[in-house]
Amino acid sequence: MQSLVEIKRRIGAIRQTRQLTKAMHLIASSKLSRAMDKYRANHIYFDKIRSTLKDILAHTPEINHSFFRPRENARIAYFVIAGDKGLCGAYNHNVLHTALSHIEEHEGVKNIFVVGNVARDFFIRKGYNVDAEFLYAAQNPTFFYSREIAEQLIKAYSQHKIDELYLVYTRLESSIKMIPKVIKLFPVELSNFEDVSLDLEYRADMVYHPSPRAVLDLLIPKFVIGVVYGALIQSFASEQQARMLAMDTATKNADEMISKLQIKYNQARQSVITNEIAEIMGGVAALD
Amino acid sequence: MASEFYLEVITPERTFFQGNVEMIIVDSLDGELGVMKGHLPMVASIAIGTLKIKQNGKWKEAAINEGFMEVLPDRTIILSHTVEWPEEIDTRRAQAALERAQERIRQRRSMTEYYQSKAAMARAMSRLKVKKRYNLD
Repeated sequence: MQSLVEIKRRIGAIRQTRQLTKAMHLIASSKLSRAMDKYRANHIYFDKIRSTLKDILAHTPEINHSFFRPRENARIAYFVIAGDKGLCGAYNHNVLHTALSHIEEHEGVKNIFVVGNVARDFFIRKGYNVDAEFLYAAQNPTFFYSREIAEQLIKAYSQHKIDELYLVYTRLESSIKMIPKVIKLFPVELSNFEDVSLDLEYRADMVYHPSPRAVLDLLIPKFVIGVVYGALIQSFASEQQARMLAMDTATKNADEMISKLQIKYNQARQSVITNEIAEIMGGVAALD
Repeated sequence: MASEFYLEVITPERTFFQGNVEMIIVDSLDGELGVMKGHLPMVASIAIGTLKIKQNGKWKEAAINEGFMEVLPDRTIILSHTVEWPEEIDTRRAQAALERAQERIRQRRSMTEYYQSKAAMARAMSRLKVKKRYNLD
């Protein structure tokens, strides 16, 4: 049997941890509700811009544009979005390992652009060439940041610094279902959009105004910005959701441990009292 | 009664407009472009300017950033980074942005910056234009 003081001290320690996890739970849930507002406002745009581009690709058999041409001996780059901190269950693990297994399947991986400290440390440990320029976007995904990021990615692609680009993020399917996803951004191909369902199958040939080139010149950058913004928001919302769940579980576990220890403490106290009484009784008996 | 078609105007941060309308007019790269029901399928670029929507016989106007639209015979989707109703436009902010852009153009920096400044200037001017016209009505 542990001593009373020892049990008391453990209960105190667990109480403190519980306070911490409880606070983190509350913070995550308030951040989540803000992230969900942004997500709800954005996901229509995110899905629509992808389905529009798919629609165009499906109805225009021959597009001659630099963003659509596959290049040989491609230098592949990845854009991976994870969190800045741990303590959020399997969120970071899932997205990073999805990215890693995808990266290991391809040769010629040159660059990994990362968002979030956890992602940076992970890929440095694995010995990859990590570009941490966009690290700042993990905490506060804004449209302004995404525009900056997208412009840099497009620039790197059009200057032939990279030839293929994949985006890895966590898609928020529902409030309990978060799925890490890999999207191919460049070059733009019909096969990049297999997961997109067209809400309207329209068979007639599209007319481009004023010309296919002008439209695509405008559409591709918008598409990249839109997708980057959407991916940042969904990843952020997923992270908060994961952290909320993890901290909720941690708080519950702490409660359970405290109640178990409390019982132990009571038992120990009881046995101390019993002992004392027994001793007194023994003393009385000896006097008689 | 003119026949109607379904219009959706979507930005990354909100759904700006959805509903049945009679006609829309946008600024395309080479001039104004009107769309009514039964238009042939088309993807069109949208230049910085104004978006005019005719609903229930009344015209409404909004300032729109670069974007594009997908036109189908019975529905049209407009995607743009920002679209604003006149009452949402902050005149002072637009005016400040206009002056900033003009100043940058005067300084004659790189070509990319020149294009960016020109775009910023066009955005500010379209906002001011929409705001001004709305206030005169």
